[in-house]
Amino acid sequence: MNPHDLEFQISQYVDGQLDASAVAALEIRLRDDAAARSLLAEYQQVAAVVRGNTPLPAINWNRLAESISTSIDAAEEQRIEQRFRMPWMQVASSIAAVAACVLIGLFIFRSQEMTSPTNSNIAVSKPRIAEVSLATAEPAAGPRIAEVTIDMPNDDTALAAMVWDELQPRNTRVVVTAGAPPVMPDSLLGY
Amino acid sequence: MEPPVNEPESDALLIERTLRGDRSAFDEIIRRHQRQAVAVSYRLLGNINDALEVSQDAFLKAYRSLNTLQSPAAFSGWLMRIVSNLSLNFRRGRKVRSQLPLDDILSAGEEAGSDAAAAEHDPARLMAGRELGEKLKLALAQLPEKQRDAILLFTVEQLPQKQVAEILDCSVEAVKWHVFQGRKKLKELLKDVM
Repeated sequence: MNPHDLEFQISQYVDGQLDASAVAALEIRLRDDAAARSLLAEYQQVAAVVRGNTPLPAINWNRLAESISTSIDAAEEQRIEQRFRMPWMQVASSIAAVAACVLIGLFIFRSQEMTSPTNSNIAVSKPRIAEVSLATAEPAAGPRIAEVTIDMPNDDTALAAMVWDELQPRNTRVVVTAGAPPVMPDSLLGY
Repeated sequence: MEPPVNEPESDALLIERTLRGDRSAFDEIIRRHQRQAVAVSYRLLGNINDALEVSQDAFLKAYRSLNTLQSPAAFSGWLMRIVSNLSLNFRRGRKVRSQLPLDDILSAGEEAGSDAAAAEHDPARLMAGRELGEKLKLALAQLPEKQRDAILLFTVEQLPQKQVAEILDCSVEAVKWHVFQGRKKLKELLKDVM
């Protein structure tokens, strides 16, 4: 038996994992071989050191058992509630998913429209406030109405409607034009 | 005439009662097997917080799949497979989570063994023990994962080699080999302190 095989056998002998005939043969060897006995002592010592110096952290087992039991009860209750809510949730989540897809599709569609120029003269992709002026004919005592001209690239009337909804409560008159906007300072782009 | 001493119910009977709706029967199962579940998970994860969380998940999974258990008498081995699978999955995608009231569950210090109790009366021995413990920890960390797992599960937790083989997804012969190779390396690494 080569030394490596002998060590392997000794390791199994320490664990009581050799069959009867292998044990008998090894014990004869150990009786006559001091080096083999020394090797056995080393492997026994390693096994003892590992067993004796790898303790489990101290645990309050009663508390742990209670905690596990409580968590099982809570999980089971939650599962029962979910089963009850499931049909409604399925309908609601399906509607929400469809609505989200429609909105995302609209957004992508509009983004593509706004960034792809149909007229070589149009250089901007978003609406620009072309002119802001105060209507001078309005009486001073009443609310002052500002007239805002918004140039919508590509005559995006749907987007114009959204802007109108935004500005309407602010006492503004909105005039929407389409076409290449004049160059305006950025300070007027206040929305 | 004295009444007969009540023998503890077998796992199989407790499982039967649980399946019939007796929730308290599963509480007794938890009390019986929690230590081994935590120990196996701890040996695989090396972190007691993670081991407690995984053990809790394992018991929940076992409770929910109890009706699939082919042989109720073999509940312990079945539970340990759940624990080890969850532990190894957790190890692969390691993240720390802590939802248990750990302060209540973890006591100060470590589990007392006969060596630790004796060392209390001998400070030098206590110190030597601590030094050895630290060196062993470092030495174990240097072993390949399978060798370390095999040594801890087989030598420390004394799980049957067949069960260790299932946990490590290898043959029984491979488990013997891993234990041997791991010990050989530890022998070398700890020669100064042994």
